[in-house]
Amino acid sequence: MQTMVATASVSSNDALKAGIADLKAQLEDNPPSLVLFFASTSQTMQVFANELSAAFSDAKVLGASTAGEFTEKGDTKNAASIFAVAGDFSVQAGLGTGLKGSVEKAVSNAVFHLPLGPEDGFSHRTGIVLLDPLAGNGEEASLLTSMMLGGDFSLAGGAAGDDLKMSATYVSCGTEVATDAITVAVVSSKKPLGLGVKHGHKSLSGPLRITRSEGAVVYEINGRPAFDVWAEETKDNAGLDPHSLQGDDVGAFLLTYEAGLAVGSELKVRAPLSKGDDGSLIFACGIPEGAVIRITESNPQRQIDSASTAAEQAFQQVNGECAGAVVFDCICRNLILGDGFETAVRDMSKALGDVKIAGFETYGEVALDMGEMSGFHNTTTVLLAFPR
Amino acid sequence: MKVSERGEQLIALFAKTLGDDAAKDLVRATALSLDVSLQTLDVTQAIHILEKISHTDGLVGITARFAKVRFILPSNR
Repeated sequence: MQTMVATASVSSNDALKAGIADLKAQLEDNPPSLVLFFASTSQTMQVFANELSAAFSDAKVLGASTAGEFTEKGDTKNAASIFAVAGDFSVQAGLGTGLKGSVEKAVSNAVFHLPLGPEDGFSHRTGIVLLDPLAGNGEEASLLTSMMLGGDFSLAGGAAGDDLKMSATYVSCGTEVATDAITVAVVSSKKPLGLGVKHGHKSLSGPLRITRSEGAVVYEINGRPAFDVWAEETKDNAGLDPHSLQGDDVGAFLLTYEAGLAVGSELKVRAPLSKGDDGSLIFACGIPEGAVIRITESNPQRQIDSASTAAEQAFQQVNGECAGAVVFDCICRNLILGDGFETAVRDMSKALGDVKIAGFETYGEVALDMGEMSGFHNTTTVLLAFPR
Repeated sequence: MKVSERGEQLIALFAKTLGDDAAKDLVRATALSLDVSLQTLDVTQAIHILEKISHTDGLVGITARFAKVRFILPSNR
């Protein structure tokens, strides 16, 4: 069967029924195998999980709360975007809770019933992960998911958001919605899916050594409170004193100036999500003591170019035959791009052949290709293309 | 001290998660604690280094366990 992709943007629970009807019409009533929904905290995730699971009873329905959401038609805030795909796919999914307390237990519960190889009749397997980044162990969760499922496949996904409140994020599988959780789907397919990954950041500061950290909390950099160092290194570029920022502005500032771990000639970006009262910085994943980082910054053109590059990578992997794509794109890219974010979204769709795409603005992205050693990214576009 | 190709391979397994500098420090320190030379590292010694690191709590330990799976695949030796 030719792959069919449907996308919808829904601005309220009341509009959801019409959105579901639209999705069915786009799919010409072919039942989807996989439905993904990405909902602002202004929406009620449980309603979306229940209604979509009921409407598409043959599909695996996964969801995440967001910091913004989009389709090929444009981006929205306080709404929900939905992606549905029908075709020669078989999907299994699971959810695990208690991610912060025990990442191994949560991942183990999420993957317990998932296949360790492509299902009968299919030759490829791709994982999709949605997780709570406020648990602070996105990298650990990504590696463990890959390891527990055999490690010989690609993994893509995103860290849920909460409209920059940094309070609680949610993921769902079927009708189960949970915080402090991870949900994993395995898509068995006859052709490979395409994975594209790219960020657009470059170094702003010189090398800075993490001198005290525990898990995802960085207490000191070069022997000084972490936030003091951040403020000092960024104030000229930011044009303000970061110590004067309050509330949501702190989160937005930190997502604009992220950390970069030097890996060869590249930077692996790591996002600080919030500031502690003691001047510590809480990251989306573990930052080990002794690591040397650089504070990074970006500009709008780099962000637009990197999104297109990620789309081109994925397009090549499906041999130029793309039916549609789901996109996990860091919220900080929207903060940098402002109104230009819509251009980046449209450019991604164009690079894939003017196809339907849907996605959300994340607090972190998951991309682990076969042979890769690190799966959690920040400030990065991760794009998963479905072959025609 | 010049590190062998296998030693560089071990460091590279951790670099993407920990960064180049922390990865080098970790592998060197662990090799030293096991009285193993990174200049003449054999496969068994490399696996012992990964085993030791895998008992560390948190991200480092999980990365080591993941790295061990990658490392012991024949194509990676």
